[in-house]
Amino acid sequence: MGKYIIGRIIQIIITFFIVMSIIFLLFRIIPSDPSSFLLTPSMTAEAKETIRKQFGLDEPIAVQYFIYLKNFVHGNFGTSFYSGRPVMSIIMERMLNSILLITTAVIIAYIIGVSIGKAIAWKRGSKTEKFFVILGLWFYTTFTPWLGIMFLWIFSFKLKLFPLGGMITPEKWILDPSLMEKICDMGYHLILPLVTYVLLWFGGYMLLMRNSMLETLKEDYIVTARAKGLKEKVIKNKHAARNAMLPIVTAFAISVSFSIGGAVLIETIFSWPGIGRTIVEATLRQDYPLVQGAFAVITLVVLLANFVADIAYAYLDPRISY
Amino acid sequence: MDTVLEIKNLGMSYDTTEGSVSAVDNVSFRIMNGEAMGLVGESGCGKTSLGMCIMKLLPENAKITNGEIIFDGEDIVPKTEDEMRMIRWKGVSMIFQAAMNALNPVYKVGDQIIEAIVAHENIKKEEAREKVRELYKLVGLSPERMENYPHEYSGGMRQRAIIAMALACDPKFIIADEPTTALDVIVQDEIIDEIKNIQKKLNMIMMYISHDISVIAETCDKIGVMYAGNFIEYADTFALFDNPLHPYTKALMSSFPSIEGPKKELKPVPGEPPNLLNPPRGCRFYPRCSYAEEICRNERPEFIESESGHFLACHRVI
Repeated sequence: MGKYIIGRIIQIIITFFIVMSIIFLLFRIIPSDPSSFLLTPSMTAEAKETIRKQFGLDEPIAVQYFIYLKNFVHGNFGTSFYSGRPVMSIIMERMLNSILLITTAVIIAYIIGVSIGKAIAWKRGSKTEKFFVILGLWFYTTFTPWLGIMFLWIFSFKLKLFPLGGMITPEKWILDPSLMEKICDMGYHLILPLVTYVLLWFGGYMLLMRNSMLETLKEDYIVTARAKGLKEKVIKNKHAARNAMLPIVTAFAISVSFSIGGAVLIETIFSWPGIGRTIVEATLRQDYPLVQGAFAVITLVVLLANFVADIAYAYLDPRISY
Repeated sequence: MDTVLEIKNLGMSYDTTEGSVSAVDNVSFRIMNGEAMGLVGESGCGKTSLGMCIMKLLPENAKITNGEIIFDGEDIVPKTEDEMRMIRWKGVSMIFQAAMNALNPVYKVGDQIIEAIVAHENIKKEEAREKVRELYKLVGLSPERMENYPHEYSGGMRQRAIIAMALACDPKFIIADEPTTALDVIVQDEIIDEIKNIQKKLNMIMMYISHDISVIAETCDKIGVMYAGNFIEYADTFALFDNPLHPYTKALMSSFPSIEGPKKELKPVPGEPPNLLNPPRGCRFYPRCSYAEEICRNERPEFIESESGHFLACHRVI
């Protein structure tokens, strides 16, 4: 086990540096100069040169690359070209917003999807099963922006049940409300994007669980469990679902790690200030340090989540040992 | 002696996309108190299906079409799932093949046996654990092994654990479905001895399913020969070996080597079993039978007692 963990950590470090190098190259391939955003035509040549120097853009690419790697190793992600704030503090703030919306949604979608998947596999061939498979597939294959905009149009614009976007109502927050009011206001903004995301994603987990469960139900130990005269509920939950869950746990770990990186489409449609939207904005503004920082953090989270999933697997399945 | 299990005219079929397959057809026999009965036949002849009928553990596309299964004085065919749950493992239990995934890979073997006991008896987990400890000793396993997972057992140990599991609720009747098929001959021999001893010691009735007639001869008091879903011969083990009456039984015996007798060339049974989607109208063995006559083609032979205790389904009692 110890040897395996050390090996995996080395693997993670190597993968991380490869990804970082690709990210570095990607932004240098884009045929435009990032400094053009900072510079205005009225500046003197000297002022332009000072700014370029300040951000290290006057150095050759190779030198920039090594400075970039060195800074990452020191945990220094630089300052945003656009806002001038440290990249790390922007990422942390946005990441928390993403976790509030997307990670919560992933967990809810997972719980709902797995429970329904388990139940419909047990009732194979029934009308309930057909209904949920079609429903799940429909939402799973629906174009995210379309569903988001439809929901905004129906529930926010027509019925006026929910806000049109954002995370808070700024007018209320200026008046320094109590914590309870703050939470309620956030919850009010949270519901619609949360429900949209859950609907779009529960189908995936549901179908995955259903398939895995159907495979498990064919196993001989299910016949043994029935022969032993165990109750249906025990056979379903203890013998079938426990084994069917094994592959789904990995899918969950990966989804959670991706959710920390936000969800570009949902966050954009609902104007949610999460990290997904930040990446889009920063890319459009050619804000290298911010995008690089965001990608670096997401890469690291995904790599670690996979690592955790592998370790968890060994605990869940006694047949696996490293 | 009392009859513990009596099967009357049992029929079972599978619904497939191509039609209905009658896997068990018109089977009748009885097992007396303390007896071990062997069920022999080729692959796909309906041995396992018959065993599953008695447990009423049939897949969704299978159903019992007619007949009665009288176990302990009660017909279990009309019983509901809930009523069957009480009979399973306590009344009838099963020794599965260890080569199959009969044990759940993610739970400790001991716990899987305790689970069966707790489901049926009103006792505490600790008492159940003590009982499993005893069962482990009975089947020749060290009780510490209860804490291991199935993949940490060898094939022979797994088979012993499965036997211990089958004995967990002191069943009246045990169905052993090919329990030694995947084991090497030495382990196979040990397991057969184990099963035989336990069966006599605990005075249970047993149905031993195997395709290997020599294994059955060693373990069982009576032998039933199945062919294409039919019972074709049923007799005392010695009577059957001394004087096999059905042409299929004869053919089956000459296809196995004998250790004691003179060296003979083995004769396989020619041909293949019939397609049960559309079985022959008369005797199901007729197309492969070297003694076949006109009547065999057209009329299904009755399963009747030809000599005392010797049942047979053949038009020509040879």
